[in-house]
Amino acid sequence: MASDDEPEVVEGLRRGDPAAFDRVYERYRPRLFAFLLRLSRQRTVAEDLLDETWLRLVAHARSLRPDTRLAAWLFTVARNLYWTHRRDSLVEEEAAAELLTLWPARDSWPSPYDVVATGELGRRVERALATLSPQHREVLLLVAYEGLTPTEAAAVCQIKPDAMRQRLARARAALVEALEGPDRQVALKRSYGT
Amino acid sequence: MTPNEMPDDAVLSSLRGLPACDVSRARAERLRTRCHKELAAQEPSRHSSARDSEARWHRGVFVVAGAWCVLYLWATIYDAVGVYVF
Repeated sequence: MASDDEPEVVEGLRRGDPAAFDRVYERYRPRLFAFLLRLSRQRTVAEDLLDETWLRLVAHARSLRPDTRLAAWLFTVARNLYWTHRRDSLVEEEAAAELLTLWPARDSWPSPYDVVATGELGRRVERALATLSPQHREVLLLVAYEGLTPTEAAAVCQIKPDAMRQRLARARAALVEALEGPDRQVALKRSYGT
Repeated sequence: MTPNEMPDDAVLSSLRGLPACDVSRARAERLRTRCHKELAAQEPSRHSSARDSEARWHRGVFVVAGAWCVLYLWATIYDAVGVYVF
């Protein structure tokens, strides 16, 4: 997922160039926020963790290695911040009430994906994803949504690539089950004529 | 399948159609401004580099003066020894 100009951008960050920061910020802010929002399922938590992620980047900008992969670096920091937050607050709330916050805020920028958001399939997938465990959510978001390779995602999650592939397979199966759940219930109701 | 090959199926593909999310424009701008300030605050200050070069100069003076003192002391002792021994 690294872009062609990434070495140049990293070099700019190492120099403390605000323009280089802006390029990274525009490129990764929505992606990081979507990741944190779907992982935490709480907008306020996701916003706070997003702030902290960017402040960490700024704090470490001058000590970045020239070959730093920014996507992996940023998602690793964001993920670690989420798990630290989760451990500290022991928060694992039920998703239903918070699902509404997954949709973009009124004053956020519109995107082509907003069209999909209004679709039933998008809502079903979003709901199904929200019912999964955080471990399953994070691998699905990193690999299927963000497009990280399983090896990159394994590095972000600090597990071995083989373990990542197994976790991805389990997460996929859990998502399928979650997606099929409501349909099965509807079919059962129909078959019993209720 | 190699470790980096993605299993490409409808289930995982369905996730790619999820809507993008972002913080509000005002919040994004506030965070950008804050990060710019932090970046600027970390810039190596010209004052500190001037202080460093001044410290290096002082250190050089002390080293030269110290070496001269050691030589002088050595010469004094050598002369004294010459007076009493010979």
